[in-house]
Amino acid sequence: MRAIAAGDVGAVGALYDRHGAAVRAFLIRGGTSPDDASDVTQDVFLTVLKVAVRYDGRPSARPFLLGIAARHARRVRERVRRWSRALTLYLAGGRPETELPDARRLRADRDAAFEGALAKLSERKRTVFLMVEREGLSGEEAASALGIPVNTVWTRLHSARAELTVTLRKRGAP
Amino acid sequence: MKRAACPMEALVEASFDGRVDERDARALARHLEACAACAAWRASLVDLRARAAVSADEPP
Repeated sequence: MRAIAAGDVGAVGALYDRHGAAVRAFLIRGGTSPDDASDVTQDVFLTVLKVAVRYDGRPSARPFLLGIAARHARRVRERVRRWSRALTLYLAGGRPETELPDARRLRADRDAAFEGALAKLSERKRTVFLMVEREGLSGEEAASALGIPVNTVWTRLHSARAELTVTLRKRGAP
Repeated sequence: MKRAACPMEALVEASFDGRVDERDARALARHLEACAACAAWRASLVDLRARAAVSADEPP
């Protein structure tokens, strides 16, 4: 990151090799479509070129990158929200039924229930939940990545967990 | 949103996130043996973490 801040554009490639897949997976898990996630991931690393001077020097750049990714994803989702709603309704009507063996079906049901509950969270809560529970960031790292106080991270994380628990319970999720 | 609540639930979550000292952790361990609400809340936290990890292995 220091090299990028000093103008070494080539260092972005190494940063991408190390964290690109994790950033893209984080975006998808947060509700960005796989296609958009690829574009947003590219944007994240282009943004790094401009903002690397603000990097606080911690050993891993991942929280910093996820913070940028969360902000980009929010903008993209706001842009596509209107038409994606109509598209989702259309696709839901035409989705073919698939036969799955019992264990796979149970697993798929379990994952679908969790994804549905996750999708119901506000974006702010979902982002914090994924940063901590999926990416393994500490509260302090998530706070730094998102530019919010650490107590806000704990508050949002608590709300996310409580809402997920209630939603899953209500749906009788497996 | 309603869950069976206990005043110690905040400590359960803080402990789960590694934010309590040893003394509080010991007190909490004793409390968890007697409090069904807190034990259930801790089980939920463990379950959510497991679900998030499984989902992370297989992006949608």
